[in-house]
Amino acid sequence: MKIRSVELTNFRKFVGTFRVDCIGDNVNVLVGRNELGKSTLLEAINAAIFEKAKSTAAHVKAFRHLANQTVPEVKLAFDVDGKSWLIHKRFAGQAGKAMLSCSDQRLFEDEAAEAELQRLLGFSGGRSGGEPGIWGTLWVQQGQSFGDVELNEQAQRTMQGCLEAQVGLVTGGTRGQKIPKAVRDALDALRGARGPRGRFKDAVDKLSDAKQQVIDLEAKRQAVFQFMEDLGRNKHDLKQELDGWDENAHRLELEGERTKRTVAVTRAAEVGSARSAAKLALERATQARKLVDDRVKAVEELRPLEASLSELGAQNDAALAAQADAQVAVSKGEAKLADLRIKTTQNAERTRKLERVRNVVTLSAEATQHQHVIDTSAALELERQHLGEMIGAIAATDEGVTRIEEAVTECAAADAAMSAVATTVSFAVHDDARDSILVDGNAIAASASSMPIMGKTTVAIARVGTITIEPQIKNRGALLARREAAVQEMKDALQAAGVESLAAARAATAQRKEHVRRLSDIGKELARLVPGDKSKKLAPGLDALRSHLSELRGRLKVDMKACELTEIPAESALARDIQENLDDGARLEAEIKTADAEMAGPADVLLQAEKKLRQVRERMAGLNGTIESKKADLAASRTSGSDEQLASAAEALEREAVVADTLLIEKEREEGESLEAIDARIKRLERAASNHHQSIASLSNEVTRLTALIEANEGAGVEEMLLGAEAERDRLTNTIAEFHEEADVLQLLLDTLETAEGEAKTRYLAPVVSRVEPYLKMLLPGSNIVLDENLQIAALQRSGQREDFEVLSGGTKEQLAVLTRLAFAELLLGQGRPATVILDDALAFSDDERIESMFDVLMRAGENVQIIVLTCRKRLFTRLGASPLEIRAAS
Amino acid sequence: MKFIHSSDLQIGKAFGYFVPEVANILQDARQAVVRTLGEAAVEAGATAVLIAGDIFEKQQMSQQTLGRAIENMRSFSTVQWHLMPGNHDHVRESGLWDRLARSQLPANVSLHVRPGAVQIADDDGAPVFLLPAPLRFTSSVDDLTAYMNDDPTPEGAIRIGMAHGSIQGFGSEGDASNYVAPTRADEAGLVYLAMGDWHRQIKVNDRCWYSGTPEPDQFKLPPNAVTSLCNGGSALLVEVNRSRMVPSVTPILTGRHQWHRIERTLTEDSQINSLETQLRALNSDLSELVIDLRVEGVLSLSGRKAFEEQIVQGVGTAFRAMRFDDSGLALNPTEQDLDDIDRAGFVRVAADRLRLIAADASNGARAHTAAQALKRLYVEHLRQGARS
Repeated sequence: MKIRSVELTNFRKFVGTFRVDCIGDNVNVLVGRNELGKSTLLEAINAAIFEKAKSTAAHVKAFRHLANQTVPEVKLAFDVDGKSWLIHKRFAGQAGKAMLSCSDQRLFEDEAAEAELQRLLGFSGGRSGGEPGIWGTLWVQQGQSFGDVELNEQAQRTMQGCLEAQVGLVTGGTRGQKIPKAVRDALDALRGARGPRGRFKDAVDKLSDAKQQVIDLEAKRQAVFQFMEDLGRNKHDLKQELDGWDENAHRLELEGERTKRTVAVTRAAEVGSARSAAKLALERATQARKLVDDRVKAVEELRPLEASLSELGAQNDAALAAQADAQVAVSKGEAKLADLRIKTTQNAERTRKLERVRNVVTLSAEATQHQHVIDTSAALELERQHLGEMIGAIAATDEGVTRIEEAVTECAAADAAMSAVATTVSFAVHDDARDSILVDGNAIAASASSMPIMGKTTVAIARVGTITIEPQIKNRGALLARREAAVQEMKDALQAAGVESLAAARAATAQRKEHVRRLSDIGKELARLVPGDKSKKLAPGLDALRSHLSELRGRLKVDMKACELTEIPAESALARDIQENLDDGARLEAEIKTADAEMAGPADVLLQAEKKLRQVRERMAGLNGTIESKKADLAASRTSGSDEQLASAAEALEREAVVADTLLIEKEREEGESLEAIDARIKRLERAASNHHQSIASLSNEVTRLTALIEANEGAGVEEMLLGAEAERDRLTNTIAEFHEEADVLQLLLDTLETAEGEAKTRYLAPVVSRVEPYLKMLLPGSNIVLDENLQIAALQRSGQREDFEVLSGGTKEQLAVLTRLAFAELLLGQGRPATVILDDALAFSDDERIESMFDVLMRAGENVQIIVLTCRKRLFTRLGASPLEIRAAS
Repeated sequence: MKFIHSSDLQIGKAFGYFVPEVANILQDARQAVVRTLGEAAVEAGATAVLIAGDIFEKQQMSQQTLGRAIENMRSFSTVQWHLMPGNHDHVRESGLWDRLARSQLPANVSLHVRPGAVQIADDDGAPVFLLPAPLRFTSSVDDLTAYMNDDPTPEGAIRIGMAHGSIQGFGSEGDASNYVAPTRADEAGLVYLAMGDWHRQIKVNDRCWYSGTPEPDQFKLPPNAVTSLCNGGSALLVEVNRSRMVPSVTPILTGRHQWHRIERTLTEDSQINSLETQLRALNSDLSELVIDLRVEGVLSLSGRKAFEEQIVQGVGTAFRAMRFDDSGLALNPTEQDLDDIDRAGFVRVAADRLRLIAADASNGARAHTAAQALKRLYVEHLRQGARS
């Protein structure tokens, strides 16, 4: 079909008659500003073909001019199958008129014209007007070009008819289309993506419940059977327990055992007694035997001890000889040392004397000083002067007494030391001869006496001559010096105290203490006048000072007297004397050290000899003690019995022990079963009875319990319920298997149908796709278009990537939609059907580059298909190169 | 003395392969047969009914099931019921029989749970002794009837044995166990040995019979069967006397339902009509029938459709129940079948493909599915055609 001209009279906005003619075979473009009436032109073309002239429909009535409402008319000239046609319609409702004339002179009016038009252009008619069908797709109204190519049912049928004519029958027709849906519905009702549905799911759910019920009932069934088995066993056990027990026999047996126990207790006491007796006898015999053994042992022990004592006696004699030899050497040294020490003593005496003189000088100085103080307070001192003098007159003090006591003690100690080592000379002479004997010129005190001698002593015997005894005493010199020093000290102490004896000193001291006590009372008053001097133990107070002075003077007087001084010597002369005396002392000390060193060797030998002697004597004394002690023990022991008596007693006791043991064995043999064994048996029998009674009670309880449990469960008929549950489970299992099979069958059927249908559609879409592809290459090289079974664009494939149509840009969508329309038109033409493409304001969204490509596409398509482009974009579309059209007022 | 000999009532048995409604009816029939036995006894003038084991299906039955059976027995006051445990309801401590014994049993119901001769009647001065051999376990190695040889009864007494198990060396039905010597009746001086366990009625010898189950419960045909009628459905009326003559044994029908097992091979669509005729001829009242129908062979799609309509949806619905197995029935779609579906188009392509898969014997399961799919497609296509 090719449209040649369109003429509108009083149509919509057009008042009067306007024409567009000279429409060419290929691409035509009508450029006009907005509101020119381009869309109205398309509407008029539609109206001429599809709207019935007599239509009273509202949208047909709307063709009238808005203002003048005159009858609109449209004339459309077109060529089909090599003939020229003109359709002229006046839209006047019931008075409307349609006329179709053909170049072959045929003329059709009104309904005939409408029918012929339908036949020519292949659309179906309705009561009010035709269904545009595929024309609705090819003629794109303003604002609709960019969407997908939507084919209504009629248009689809047209295209399918067209395609099937080309590729053969591929679909199953109307019924064929419904089958996959029905199968899918059936399958969906049965099984979804997430598993079974509907009745199938119900069955699966119920099977799960049924299986659980079977498990529960099976467990319950087993439990009841277990109760039955347990009950049977318990009854059997109970019967055995009762059958195997004789209460009376058990009681008698227990009583018998208790009687046995009483007898056993008595026997056990007898055995215990016998055991004690045997034990005692054994102990006594053992003790007696031990006494015998000890005595023999003691006698035997004495013999080696006495031999050792004898040996020690010999050793003692040897040691005494060695001691005598050493003593001689030591005595020589000691004589020398004694001389030196006498000199040292004299020097010391001189030292002490000089010290006293120095004290006197010091006292004198102090007294002089104190006198000055006392003179100042003479009045105060007067009262106590006398007392002070009296105290001062008594030289004896506590210290003096102590000194005298110590000197007395030392003298006694020195005497004792001397007498310890002195050689004792004993005399035994007739009384009438006593006067004939003089010891150191003195007569002996008694006819029989003994005297110790330390030094060389001469015993003169009238008419006989003299015997000189010179004891060799070690340290004799030192001992003598000690005694002399002690005697001298005592003399000095007595002298210092101004007394003759210790007793006089003690009495004088006591007197003096009394004076001091009295002086102290007065001193408290003098303290206020005289501060006292702690360093000199001088109490505060004038009295004290006076006393002190008097004391000093008293002492000075005594000291001067003692020192035999008439006047106080000069201090320098005194110092010289003291120094000389000290020098002498040092010299003597050095000489003593030398003499000591010389005597060290002999003294050590003597010491060793004495040590040896002492050791021997100590051992002898110890051994002697042991021997004496043992002898004493033995003697004491023998007083209680002789050795023979002792042995005899032991044997008697041993015999007694044997007798006691024999008696014990006999008792033990007679004892019989032990008490422990009988007790254990009694305990066992008692426990057995207790166990028996407990067992009876326990089994009876269990029987009662199990019987109750069974009776409680049996009414339910667990096994019968189980049979029912198992039947239900089996039924459901079968049902589910059937559902599975049905679903598998439906799935296979659906898969097979869909595969076949998909293949068929691919085949029948191929002609459309093959017509789109050349244009697509021009527009988007390397791309493919994907159409769905409804001939709609599903996607675009670029570089192997699929892009769904919906996500493409508006421009691309519009371009693809135009291409597809061109392909449809070509396909229709190829099948000898009329097709013209009209695009009203299409490609509005295309960019400059793309629109150039689209122009190329349109021009190429225009070689086969008549294309009419309506646009307001004059400048742009001048590049299309299409034949220009104009709307002109008819002349 | 006349008595009815029956066994294997197995009251409470479930029938899992039928829908619950049918299964309930079949279960109910097993209860009802007690009354049938009672009525038969009364009608024949029999004074006792001996049930040789398996009165109940299991040990733990509901009170309703037990009570109903016993109450049915009670109602026949002139008839003494002698019940003995079998392998399904064997004796066990505190089990079903203890429970029955504890219940208020009617005087006309006797339980025989221990071996040993028990006098059950006096037949004109001759004491009648029953020697039961109850089962204490599901299966026993020993011949429990052995004791009957030595168990004394008074001179002139009529000795009737009752046992449950398999007669040794006599056939081999099912899992044979609890063997009984075939010569037991003679050896033990029994005038009659009433056997239970086998559901088929069998005469072992003149003095030893299996009564079979009084109500059929399985699709099992007797050996060398000439009809499709399955085992069970009858009891025995037995008359004995002191003369030790061969007892008079008469089968009596008791079953409410008749069970048939029918196997047919269909190779032509026309055979469907003959099958339908055969089924309809089985009984005047088809609702008394329980059918196990197994068909094999090959049918076209149209034949299969006719089979469904005439047999499954037709006569099949008249039966009390029908178990149907068509796993051996293959489909062989003809060209006409396929043309009926469509002459061209993708549906026809799919049909052709399914036919190819269905014909591929190398994958039986898939071939079967494909055949079913093809059948479905055929039906669906016709259905859509009918709608459009």
